[in-house]
Amino acid sequence: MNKNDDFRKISPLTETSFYVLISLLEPLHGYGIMQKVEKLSQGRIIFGPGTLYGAINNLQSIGLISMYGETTSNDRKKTYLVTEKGKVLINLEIDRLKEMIINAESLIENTKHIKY
Amino acid sequence: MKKKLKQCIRFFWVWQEEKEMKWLRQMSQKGWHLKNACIFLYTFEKGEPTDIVYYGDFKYLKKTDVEEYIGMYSDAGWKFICSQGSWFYFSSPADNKYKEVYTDNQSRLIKYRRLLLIHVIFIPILMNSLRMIADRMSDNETVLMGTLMLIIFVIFLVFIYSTIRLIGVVSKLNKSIKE
Repeated sequence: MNKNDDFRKISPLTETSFYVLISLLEPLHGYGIMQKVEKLSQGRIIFGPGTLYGAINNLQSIGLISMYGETTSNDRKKTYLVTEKGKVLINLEIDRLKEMIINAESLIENTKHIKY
Repeated sequence: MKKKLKQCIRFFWVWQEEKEMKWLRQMSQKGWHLKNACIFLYTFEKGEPTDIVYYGDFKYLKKTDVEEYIGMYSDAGWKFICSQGSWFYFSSPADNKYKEVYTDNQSRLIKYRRLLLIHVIFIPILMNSLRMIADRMSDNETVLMGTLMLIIFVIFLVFIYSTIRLIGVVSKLNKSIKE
């Protein structure tokens, strides 16, 4: 059994999913995710509520995040947290993104003599 | 005092969300604010002219998830107006930072995929009703049956056209994600 095969189907995550996932390394509810991602990306990424709801649903259905703590019936704000599987995927994505950056930077460096 | 209401019948195809939203915004700018939307029938309430934007979302939700879903919109400054089946209408001030409901194509795709699925389910149902009416008609041909048959046949054609267009929308969104 190769655990990575399972992840290969999910990876690469979209920018939206990736940011939702890493922001949930601590427990947050929907609006908390919006604010955190906005802050992390210095205002570059603003999630619409439809997009955020869809992303949370999707990540939950593939088991990368799950509901956190006890949610009482009158508590309309659900809190989420990354799962173990989600954490593994984050690390795999970090490796993948690092590889891309290293390759891009070294190619830029090695091709300095070429005029575009 | 009772507020003045106005009803309008307007037809929009499901992929014409921009056109529909633009119209609703213009209505608000003229002081007519959306109060209810039910397929083609829109009800407006007279008020102060305000720049308000609208969004009609299509979301299949379990009853227990509705509150969280609406809550997420309200956190982002979107007021819930009404729902009809899986359609949910929201409004927001035009200067809201979160005035785009869908900020990526992946989530927009989910909406249109679901709409397409509903269409695909409906087509055999409509075909079946056509066949049932046709069977009855061979026994006794009445004007009523003929009219009913014609209506369902028109609906059927509308669905076929809508399905073809939706397939186009979905595949375009799919492509934009993969690029």
